[in-house]
Amino acid sequence: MTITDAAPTCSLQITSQTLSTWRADDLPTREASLLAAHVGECASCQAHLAAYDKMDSLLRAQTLPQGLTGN
Amino acid sequence: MGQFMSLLRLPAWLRTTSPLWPIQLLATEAETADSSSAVRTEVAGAVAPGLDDFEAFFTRHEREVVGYLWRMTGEEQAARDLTQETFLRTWQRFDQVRAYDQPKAWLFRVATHLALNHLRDQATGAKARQAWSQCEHATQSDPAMRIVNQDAVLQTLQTLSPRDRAALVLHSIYGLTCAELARSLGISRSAAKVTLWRARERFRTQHQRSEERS
Repeated sequence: MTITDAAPTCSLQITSQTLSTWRADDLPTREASLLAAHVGECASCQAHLAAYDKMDSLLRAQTLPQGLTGN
Repeated sequence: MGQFMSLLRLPAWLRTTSPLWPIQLLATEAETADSSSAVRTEVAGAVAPGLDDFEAFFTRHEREVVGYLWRMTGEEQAARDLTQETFLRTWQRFDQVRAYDQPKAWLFRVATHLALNHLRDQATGAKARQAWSQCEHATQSDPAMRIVNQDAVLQTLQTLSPRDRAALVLHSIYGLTCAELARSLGISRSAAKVTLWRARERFRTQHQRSEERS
């Protein structure tokens, strides 16, 4: 999947940009609730969001070099 | 005196040239002029309003800022230097900064500005890439740092443009909202959403490639 593709098997052709904005809690309320209902049933969107979650986990798991922690 | 003793709680690398140095300097001058502790306290209080608040602000955000700048620059020394500069600028405007709705967004805006300038000065980022290469070598030789995933994350971050990297780190690690991202990066909220999306997709694609290669 390239960065501009819609999720390939998503029946509503939800774009990764929309999913990213939803994940950042920045969609208008009505759109957000419609999307939430859709995501619950769409394996493609769930997979894309799971990739975002994994990415966030990897980033948060980073530890600072000892020289910067002051310990 | 207690205020200055609190410098001892700062990380060693900040203790030597603490962002509180303007206050420390003034206190030293006051001490030289009159060794009376009463006068010292009075002078310190007069020249350093809000020092306790600033110290609390510093303590609350210092680790976030140095971590952010380390991820932005890929260099420990640059992260230290730019963190000092960030807090020095914050101190100089602290009366205004602490009145802001989102002082953290302002803090990250200063840090981002300094990081982007630093990276621009590196001319094409060659030095940063070299630093990451050295970092990789160091981690391979240090058993405590042999965390493959972590190395891959660091290297993948470095492949993003500085602005994309800033957006991803600020949102995913430090929890800034799109509105706060916009303020920190000096762009519109719409642009912040696009920048965050682009950063996520680029990071995801790059990380996937590096996993496939390994």
